[in-house]
Amino acid sequence: MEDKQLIASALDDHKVFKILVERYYSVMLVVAKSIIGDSLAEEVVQEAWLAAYKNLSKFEGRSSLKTWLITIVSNEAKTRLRKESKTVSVGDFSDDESVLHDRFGSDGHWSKPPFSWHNETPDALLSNQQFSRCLKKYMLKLSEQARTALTLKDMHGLSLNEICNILGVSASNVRVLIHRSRHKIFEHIEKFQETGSC
Amino acid sequence: MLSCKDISELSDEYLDGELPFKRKLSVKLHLAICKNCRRYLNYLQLTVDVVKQSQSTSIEKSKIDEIMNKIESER
Repeated sequence: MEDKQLIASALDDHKVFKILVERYYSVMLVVAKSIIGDSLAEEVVQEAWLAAYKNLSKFEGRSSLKTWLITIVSNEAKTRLRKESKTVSVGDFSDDESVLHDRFGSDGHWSKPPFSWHNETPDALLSNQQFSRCLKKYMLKLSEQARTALTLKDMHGLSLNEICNILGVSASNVRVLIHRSRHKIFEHIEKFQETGSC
Repeated sequence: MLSCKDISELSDEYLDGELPFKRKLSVKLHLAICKNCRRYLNYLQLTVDVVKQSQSTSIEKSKIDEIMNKIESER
């Protein structure tokens, strides 16, 4: 069922509200973790849902419900961050951590081109349990900020602007984070295709 | 003419459909003659799709219940 239909009855029917919580809990947790860290993220998400419940009648649908919820959890997390006087590292966006750097010759052409992979569909790869375990490890090897940017972009479909606002960095820096993350995962998958292990 | 390294640098914006028309055309021109870059971009797209499809749907039920209980107690 579409959000619009659910919103109409969510305040009167808890079962309907619960469907919304189940639908958006994950993305809200990712956003909260990226701002305030793991230990307080769940608490912040709870507070955000409470605020969303109290204000749902005022939701006018000018943005999507997802964007509205992300704004709420993002604000909750930032307020909490100020209260806790925590600081979050800004991250390193310099170019010295370039990806695929050793794969091109001085003329800009491939010196080590990608070889043919055995599994050429996401289903074929993800149905391999060993690969699924490896993928979790690959994700954890990324920096917190890179993982957040990749998760919000590729798993939850957020726009670059939305990600910039959440992470508090420029669009070009978000691009750098996504570029690096995708290519690191790419190289890990390539290694898995070659060796069959992480 | 773009080099293979240029293609790598433009890869994300190309796959996300964010390149300006002329730049996109230059990438397509390169891809028409470069098998390695066609393979590379196919596999990078596969990487994006794998991450997309790997999204965990197993949210802890207890966390959802905690939120619903809190809402119930605030009513």
